[in-house]
Amino acid sequence: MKRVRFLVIFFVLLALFEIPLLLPAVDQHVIVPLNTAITTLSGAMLGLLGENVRTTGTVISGSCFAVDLKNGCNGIEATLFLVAAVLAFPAPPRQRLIAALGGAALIQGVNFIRIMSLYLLGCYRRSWFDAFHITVWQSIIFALAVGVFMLWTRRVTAANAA
Amino acid sequence: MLLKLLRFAAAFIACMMLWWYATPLYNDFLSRAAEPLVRIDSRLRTADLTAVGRNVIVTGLPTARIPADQLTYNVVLFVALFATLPGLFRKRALKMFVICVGILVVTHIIALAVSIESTCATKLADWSESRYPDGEQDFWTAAEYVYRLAGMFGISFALWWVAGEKLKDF
Repeated sequence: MKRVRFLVIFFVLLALFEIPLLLPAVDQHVIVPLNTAITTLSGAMLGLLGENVRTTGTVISGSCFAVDLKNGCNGIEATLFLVAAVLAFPAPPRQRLIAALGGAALIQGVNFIRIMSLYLLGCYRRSWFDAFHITVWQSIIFALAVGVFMLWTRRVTAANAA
Repeated sequence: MLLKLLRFAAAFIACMMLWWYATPLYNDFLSRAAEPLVRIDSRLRTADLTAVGRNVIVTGLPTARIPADQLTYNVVLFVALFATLPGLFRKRALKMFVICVGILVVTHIIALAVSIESTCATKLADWSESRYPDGEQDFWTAAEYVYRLAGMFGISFALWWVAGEKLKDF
């Protein structure tokens, strides 16, 4: 029964968190500014790697390739996925908050690597770009969210049992 | 922990390769399986689904191209997660694996039908506008969006989680 409850709450929260991302107002006031910030930081990090790139809004462009950061490339979906799972799992609020914030930071950190690697793949291995863009990186980011959740539930369950 | 990570990585890479090369064949199966489901909608009764490489092409209406491979790659995450479960090669685990993959296949068929509805509702210009009211367009768009951005991974996660809990009981 607890399993069913967890899954039902998880899916309801997931839908509740994801659907607002479709709203133009959310896109304009939350997603686009976030994507712009991620683009700026990713561009700066690519610069540190010696790539001659410039950023304009949500676009990173160089002489060999350009990437435009859209919904789905910012790690928000995976973060909301993790938050939905953490909220659905029975645990004290403080531990939930730590898991959500820590997990979000980790996902965003790995997402920077995704964006930089996609730019570099676009430049130097164009034929690999599509496969990595959708399939590989999206799976890795969600695997990370599941991994964080798995480790967290193990710790919470052990702490509650002690 | 390290062993689990290695199993995850090995299964991830192996399944990714399998998925990549098997997708055209799997799309052929999906298009045949989803066609009767799509035709339940009277507006799409004349729809014919044909797999062409990584896409499914809908004809019999204004032609639409559905990138069906983007609906099915959650199998990679599921297999990689499943590989981390204990007692992987025991009969019970294998049975559980087959059941979960079966459920995943059913969700892929439904996802393809939803994706076709969403495309027909919003991307076929006048044809869409004259047949789908605004509310229905929003519904199909939201359904496809939620599935593609997070729902598909939610399904993999849920199947793995339930399988893990069930295997723990034995």
